[in-house]
Amino acid sequence: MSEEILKALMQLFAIIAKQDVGLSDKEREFVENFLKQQLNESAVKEYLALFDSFIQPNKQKRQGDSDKPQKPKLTSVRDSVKTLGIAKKINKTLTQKQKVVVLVRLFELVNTDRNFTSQRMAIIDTVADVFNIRPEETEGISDFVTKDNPHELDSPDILIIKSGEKPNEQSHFIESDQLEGNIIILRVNSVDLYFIRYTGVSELMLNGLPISNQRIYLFANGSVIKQPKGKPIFYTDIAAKFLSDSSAINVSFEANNLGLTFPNGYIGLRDINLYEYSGKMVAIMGGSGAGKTTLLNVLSGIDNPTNGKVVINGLNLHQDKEKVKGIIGYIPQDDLLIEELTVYENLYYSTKLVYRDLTEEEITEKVNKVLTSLGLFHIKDLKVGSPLNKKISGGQRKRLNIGLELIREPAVLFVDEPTSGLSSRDSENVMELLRELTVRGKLIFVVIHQPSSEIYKMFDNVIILDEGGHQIYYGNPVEAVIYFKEIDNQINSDVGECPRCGNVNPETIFSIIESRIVDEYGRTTATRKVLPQEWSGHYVSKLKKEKETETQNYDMLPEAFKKPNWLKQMKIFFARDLFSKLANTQYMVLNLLEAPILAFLLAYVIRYIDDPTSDVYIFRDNENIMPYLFMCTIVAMFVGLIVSAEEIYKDRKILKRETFLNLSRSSYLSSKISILFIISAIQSALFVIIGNSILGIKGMYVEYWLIFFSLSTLANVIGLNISAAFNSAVTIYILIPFLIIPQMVLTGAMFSFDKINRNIGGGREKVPVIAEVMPSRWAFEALVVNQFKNNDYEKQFYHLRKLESELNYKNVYYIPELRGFAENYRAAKMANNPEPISKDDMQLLYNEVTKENKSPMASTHNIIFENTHLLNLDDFNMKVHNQLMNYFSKLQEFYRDNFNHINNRIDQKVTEMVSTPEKREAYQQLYNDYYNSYLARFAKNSMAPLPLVRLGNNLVQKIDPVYLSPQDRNPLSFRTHFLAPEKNFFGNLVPTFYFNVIIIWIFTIIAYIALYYNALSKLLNSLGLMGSKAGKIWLSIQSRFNKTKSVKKQ
Amino acid sequence: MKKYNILLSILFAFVLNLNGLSQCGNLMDVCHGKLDDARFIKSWPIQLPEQESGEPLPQVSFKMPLSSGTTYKIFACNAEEYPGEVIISIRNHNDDLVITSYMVEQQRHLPIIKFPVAMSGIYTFSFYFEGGKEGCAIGVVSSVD
Amino acid sequence: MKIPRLTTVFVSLFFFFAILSCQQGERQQATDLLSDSLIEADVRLDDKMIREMISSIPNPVEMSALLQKSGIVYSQDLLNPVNNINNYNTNFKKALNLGVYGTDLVYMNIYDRTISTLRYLSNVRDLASDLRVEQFFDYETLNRLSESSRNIDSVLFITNTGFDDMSRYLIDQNRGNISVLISYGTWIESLYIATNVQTVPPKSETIHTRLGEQKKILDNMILLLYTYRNDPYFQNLIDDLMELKVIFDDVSITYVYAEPTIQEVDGTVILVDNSSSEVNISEETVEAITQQVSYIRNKMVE
Repeated sequence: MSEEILKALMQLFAIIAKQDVGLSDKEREFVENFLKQQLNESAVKEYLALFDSFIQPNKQKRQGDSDKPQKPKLTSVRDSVKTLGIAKKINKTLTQKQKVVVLVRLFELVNTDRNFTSQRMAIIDTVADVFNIRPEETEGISDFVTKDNPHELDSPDILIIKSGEKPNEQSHFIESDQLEGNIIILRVNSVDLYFIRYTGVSELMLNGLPISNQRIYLFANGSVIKQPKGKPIFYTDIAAKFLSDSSAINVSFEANNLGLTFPNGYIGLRDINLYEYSGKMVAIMGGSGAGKTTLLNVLSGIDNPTNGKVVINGLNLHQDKEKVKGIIGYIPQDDLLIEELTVYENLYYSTKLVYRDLTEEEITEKVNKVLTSLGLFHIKDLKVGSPLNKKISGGQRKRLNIGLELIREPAVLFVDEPTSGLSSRDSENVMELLRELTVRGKLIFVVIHQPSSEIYKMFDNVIILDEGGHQIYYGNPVEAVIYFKEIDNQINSDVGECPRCGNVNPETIFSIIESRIVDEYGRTTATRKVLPQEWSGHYVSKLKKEKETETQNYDMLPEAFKKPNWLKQMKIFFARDLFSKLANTQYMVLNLLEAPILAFLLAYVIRYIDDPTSDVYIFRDNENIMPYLFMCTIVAMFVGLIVSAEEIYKDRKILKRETFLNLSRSSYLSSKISILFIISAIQSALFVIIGNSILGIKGMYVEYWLIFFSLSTLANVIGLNISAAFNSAVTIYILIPFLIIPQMVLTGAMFSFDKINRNIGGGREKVPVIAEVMPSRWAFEALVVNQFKNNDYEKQFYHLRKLESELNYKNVYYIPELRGFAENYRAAKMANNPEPISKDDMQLLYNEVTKENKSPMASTHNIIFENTHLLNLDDFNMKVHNQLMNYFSKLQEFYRDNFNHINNRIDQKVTEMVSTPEKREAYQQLYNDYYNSYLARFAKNSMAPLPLVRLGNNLVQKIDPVYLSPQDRNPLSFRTHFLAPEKNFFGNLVPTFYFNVIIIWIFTIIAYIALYYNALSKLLNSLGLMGSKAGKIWLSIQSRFNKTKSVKKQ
Repeated sequence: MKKYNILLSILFAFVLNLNGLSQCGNLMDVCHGKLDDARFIKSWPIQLPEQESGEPLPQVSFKMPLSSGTTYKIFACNAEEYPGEVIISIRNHNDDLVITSYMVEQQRHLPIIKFPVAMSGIYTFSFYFEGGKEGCAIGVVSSVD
Repeated sequence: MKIPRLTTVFVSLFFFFAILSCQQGERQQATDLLSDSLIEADVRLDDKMIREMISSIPNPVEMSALLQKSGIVYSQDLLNPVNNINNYNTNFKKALNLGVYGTDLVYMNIYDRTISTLRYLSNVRDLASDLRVEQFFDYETLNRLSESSRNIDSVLFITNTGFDDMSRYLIDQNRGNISVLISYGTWIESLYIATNVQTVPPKSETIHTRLGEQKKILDNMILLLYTYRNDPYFQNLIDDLMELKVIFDDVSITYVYAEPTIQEVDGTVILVDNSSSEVNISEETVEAITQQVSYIRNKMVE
């Protein structure tokens, strides 16, 4: 209290005291006592002198003119004016609560001598009036101060504690058998303050200080009244009485023998017991590593205990999760705010997600109401911003975080370190907010670290944990100090708070708990005086001493809040995410520009004119189209990954909370994915439009877009997987190269699948398995095949050229090769070689002839070698050889003639197309604009060193892959050689483009399922667990080894 | 996927024998010494089977225009793995024998024929192996300045 | 994602594939194309004759070597520009210009212009590949060899062998027409270069004589083309050559036959042919030939 205010008070006291009968000794004594409570000895004298000086003139008068009763009236008018001035002055500096306290003090002054003259009362009324205190409350205070008889105090704002019957109708009542006299408590509603007075003579203690029946005390948060006999009366008992008629549901919360052992064997919690009910605020305290947050997580149902149970209104929290979840709220230490959204929007989307049935107006109303109650209404349109880029204060952030939970009005609220990082002012604000919630009937558990005295006293109960999860105290906070002091045998051990200032120092507790043994040199050692187990032992014996058997009636739990359905949730998530992205200009600009800029850079750089003498760009001559296609796939992957890699990571705290709210993960993920897909679609379109038009890739926009988009979306989902599984942004970005580079290597563009390590499947007929799992390979293949096969030029010839290729291959390479084997046989036979043909070669002949017999072309024209059964070492002879050679000749002739026929057809077609100069011009244009020679060379594998190779006992075609249909027509064989024009799907041939797109989408679906079940993080966890187990085994081996070593040394 | 793929992963690559010449080795390497600093013009691969009794001598002919005023250096190289030694004879467009690599009287083989051509025209180059043996060779026509 | 939803996805994928696979109609049609092919197979010609005649068409090495030996300067402008390849769409054009580029390649190699050979080599390969005779060109080796002028003989040898093998193969494959066109292109390009290089007497004498000697070759060429006269494009070529033949009628070649004699040269006994020929060709005729050859050639490469 400032000097000025004290002075003003002295004046007020004096004005009141000197009215009518004048100052009595008792009244002066009251003033002196009052001052003593506020000030030290010397200052008391100073202010008392001041008080006397205000009184003096009147006192003299009173002595002189005792027979002239009219005079004081005059003075009274002057005093009234003075009073008005003082009251107004006080008004400016004191809070409403403080003003109420001043008013109570004034009544108290008058009450000391019970001189309730009308003038005195008139002055008090004036003060109350100026203070804006409601008349009925003023009257209530007046009654409370002046009336001793409980029967007269018939008001709902009064609570009476006494033995015997309830004294009247309206006032609240607590029965206390052994109490002598009455304890009367007044609640001043407007400021939520409680005042207490005692009419008896027993030695009652308020917060460890004796209560005088002369005085009125402020009954603050966390206060406790102790009687010589009988149990203590707590603040919350009182508050609960006043609020018992509120609509809040009654909750009983009980934890029995909770224990938690971590997978690595470390014990986190041991035998925790507690019992709480609505309207309490409970602190969970302990040194670091004592298991505070662990306990909070178990109590809130986030983690499951290994032993014991948590029972809420008769329901097991961990078993009946669904029923209980709705009433539990959890406010983690971290921010749950979306930085890009405003204060209002943050709360708005939260509300929408929680309430299905509310209309837009109701939601707005609800949000505004909560914002008002949080004191955040005036900043509702500010963006939240990041903690580093502050737009709103830390306290406001915290309150908003609490608001997110409050909106669904949980009956039990768990708060993890709400004050960490906040200034003491903000801390107190936040705690007061929580405290107010208990008054509304909520049960609140708060993990708190180093609370100030003010905050500490707000708690009804405190649970103190010690290292290793030992519960070493559970009970009243002020009592806790006394309890530990007692055990520590400290002097003054029965005083919980500082008698003068009312401060409680919770640090005392911890310095006692954690005090260390001092060695002979006075240095503290690492050994604790009292081990956690010992503290726990003390606590258990104390428990036994004062075991309370208290049970409270509880209500049926309300149904869990009605959350919106899947689709609606998705819509809300979507809107929330979309608006937060739109609000982030940097993000939007970068994302929208990324693709077009990359496309421009890439395409512009690789667009060149091959002919040094020409200025005309010709698509056909651009050697970089294949690399461009390759880059498309890499850019698609990269852009897709980058966009999504941080998405879930960024949201993980919010996500944790929303999981807690039992909101659908799949609708959250779907909303994420929808937004990312939209971004990807736009990016893909921009990339393809710009890249393709610069490079002159005509008429393929949709196909390119589809591939780019499909790959991006897959990358999006992969990115989400990573962002869900890893817990730092750096890890995520380090991981991206690991995802991209194998894709680059195994696309088939940079390194031919024929020229990669044989151990991973290089040089086989089909694409190596390891490359089959690379999405980029499918995308690249689709792009190449589609670009080659379906461009406006080639598509007119493709089917003919495909046939021509097959005939040519058979005629020029395949049959001559087979012939070679047979000829070698003949030559060897002539030279009387005992083994004219090897078993492998024979097998090859058998395999290939059998295959050839089945080939559609030869078989439909009935050119078949019927004696395949003779193609083995035993039956093969010159006769069979001649038959075979004859067969080969027939085949070759067939292929040759048909080749010529098809070749002529193509040539006729071309010849027709260039038959006039105009047509030729058009043809040339078509050819230049659509057909890329270098891509064709790649697609036809023209640079293959060998047109066919022998793999085992089979011949495999290596040239013209883009004209070669899959050879393996087994219905279940989906794999083919690289660049196959079509793919085998249950015996049907599907164009590669569509097949590959679908494969990419199947990858996406798999990635989505993995994401939904959080498979990656589960995998990582199990790997981590294996790692830690391996580490333990290693350590034990090492220690054993060390032991044997030391033994040897001895 | 398929386990046997791994077992069969031993890969046999081989070159196709499409080029008839390489059937008896790359003789151009052998012939390079004989070419010396003459300008290569044309070559023919020659591969003939052994003469069968009662059959005519196996031989192969090629036509080629030769120009007057040019001295041609004509030679052949035998593949060592075959017994036959190749003999070249050249006839003009009137089918007159104008030069041969085998001197019947001396029973001598000329390793190189130098042929200064005075009459332009299309000449026929015939190749056969001495005694109708099986043989493989390459015939080369070059010009000297 | 619930399991039923997933099943739906897969089922719909399946149907999607099933629908797509119906598009295979086109492929079926392509196979059907084969059935009637045997019926309209070409009437087989005398392959041996064609082969011999093709072989009698002079190979461009000699003409180029003559030019180089005569000290006539190299002229890049005479060659068919590399980018002209883009104009060749039909087999007819491709075959002709495969010959043209082949000749150009030889000409460049003889003159050691190895820098630009790479692009010509690539053209030769592309055309060969389009004509489906790429197997006769060992592009890799040629590429390697053309890096050094010391390998010129190897390059020529490989090229020569490749051309020979290819024409034999083409004839075997009933594609003699392609082979004839390649030879035609080769020959015309040789003539074109020989007639268009800057010459001054007496160097030009030899070249003119050589030109006159082509009279017989021209007859063979016409004969070769005549085999395929049913093709109007071939008929065009024949018409052009017939005009050239008219000009060549002014060229006279006289032969003097004599018995060969045995001489001893450098200790070696050799047979010496004593027959000779003389070519009579006027400047005007040379000019006329030059004109007609240029006309034919430029039509061919456009």
